[in-house]
Amino acid sequence: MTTQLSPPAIAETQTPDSVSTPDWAFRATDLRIAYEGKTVLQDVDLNIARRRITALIGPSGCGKTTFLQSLNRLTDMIPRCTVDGSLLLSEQVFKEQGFGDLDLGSPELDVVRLRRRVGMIFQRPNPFPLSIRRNLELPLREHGVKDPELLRRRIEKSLRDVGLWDEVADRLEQTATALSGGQQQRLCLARALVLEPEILLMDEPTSALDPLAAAVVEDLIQSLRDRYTIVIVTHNLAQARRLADDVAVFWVREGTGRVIETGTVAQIFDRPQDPDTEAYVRGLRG
Amino acid sequence: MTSSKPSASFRAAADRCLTVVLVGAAAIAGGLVLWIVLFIARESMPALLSIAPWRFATDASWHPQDGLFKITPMVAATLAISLVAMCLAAPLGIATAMFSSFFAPARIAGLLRRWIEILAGIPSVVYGLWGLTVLVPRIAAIQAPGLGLLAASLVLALMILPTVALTAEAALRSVDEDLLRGAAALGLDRTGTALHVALPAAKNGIFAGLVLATARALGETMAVLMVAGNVVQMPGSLFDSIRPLTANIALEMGYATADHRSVLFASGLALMLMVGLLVALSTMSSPEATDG
Repeated sequence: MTTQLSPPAIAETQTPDSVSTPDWAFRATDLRIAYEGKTVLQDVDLNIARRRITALIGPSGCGKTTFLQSLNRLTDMIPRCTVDGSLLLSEQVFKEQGFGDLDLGSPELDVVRLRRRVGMIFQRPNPFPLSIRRNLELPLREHGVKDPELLRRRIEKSLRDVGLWDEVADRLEQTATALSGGQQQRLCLARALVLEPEILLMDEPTSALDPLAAAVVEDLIQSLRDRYTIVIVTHNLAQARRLADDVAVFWVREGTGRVIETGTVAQIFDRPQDPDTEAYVRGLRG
Repeated sequence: MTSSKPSASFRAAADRCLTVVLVGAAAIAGGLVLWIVLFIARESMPALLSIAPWRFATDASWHPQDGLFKITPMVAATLAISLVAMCLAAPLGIATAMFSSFFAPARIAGLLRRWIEILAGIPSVVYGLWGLTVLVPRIAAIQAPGLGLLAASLVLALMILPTVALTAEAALRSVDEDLLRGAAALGLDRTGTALHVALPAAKNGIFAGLVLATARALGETMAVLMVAGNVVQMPGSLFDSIRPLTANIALEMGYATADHRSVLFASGLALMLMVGLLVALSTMSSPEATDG
């Protein structure tokens, strides 16, 4: 019997040079986010492409992090934060279920399952004050992985994926908070990867690290390209340019944050249409 | 210069003046503690010098007027009451703190905290009265006389519960927001976050609160005196009447003379040592001392 495992040509096809590729992960339509009635972000129409790296750039206080947090419903943790409009997660991400696109605004949404598919890395490394092993084991156990051998394998794999295995293999029982900042951030990335998510949200993941550690983490993000959908908030324009396939520029207009321009990294950095975008990417404003 | 601003020399003088006052206040506060310790040590000296220390354990009984100074049953009573009280108050207090920090709606949590603060403000003699009239008869219905280790431990548990609950709640509330967001982003539910992330993150603060509560339990006098029964004997069961060290000092100080009086001071010194050891223990296990 011949093995006939020809995969249905996984969409490695030459994706058009545009964010409006049909293969999207998130689709925001007329999204508005408010804290205690004060609108911080509005009129957001944005498609985030699957298996690509999308950078959210713009000056501080224009709603990038807020938008990012709405993608895994972490906005739920902010008291009196309301999200209106439509925000969909492609059914591709939850392919196995076939219930259609997921409405992230729905109050009935199972956020635990959502967050299992959508991991997040924060600005400041936030390993739990537990052993290195427990940091990775805890999320797995919470999501029902109990088999010791499977736990061991997945922990090792995720540590290898972030290049940390050789550094910590002999001290897995030591507390994670004793690691250096860069190691902590890589552990946090491993902790997100251990759940085998589809999407990774990153909120300035290298800005709290020293330049060398930041370079290591950035290389790591590069290595995840094509395998994950990555949405990254960054104030480092050079980093956005190095990492991103697509870019969305956030800007404050009339007192609230908006998305003023979207496009591929080449479009935004080389041929910006909006004057504010142009001034920002040229370092003149923002 | 016509400005109304004080001159530099005047401000320097004011600084010096205030410094003198503050140094004086600090010296008085620190000196008083030292004075008390030295005073108690001095008053204990005659007993510690004239009575061989092992006699506190080997004498036949506690009959100070006959020169018999066995204090070990009272030390054991103090430890037993504190231990049982901690075993009751620690889980209850920590559970209350977990509830109000992670599970209760904000309004309920606020009310609960206020309520526990009130509990902390009730004078110990009132707890004693309550224990005497409410607890003791009920315990006596199970096994007479009702006054004893169980009654004393229950009253004491209630008294130290606020200390445990309030310090644990403060520790849980000060857990880094980033950790909680990190837990949420991994899809941990409230129970997983509270038990596996917040509790380990707050454990130093909670432990410090437990030590504080134990210190209070060891030193508490009035409430336990009212319900412990005050019979000098080794605690053998929860229903035994016992006499803790503190109660012994309060009961006998009024008429004690000579060696007897000095032994009471020595037992006070022993209590201080126990509390001091606990504080040292909590300092040593604090993160500043272990990390790094």
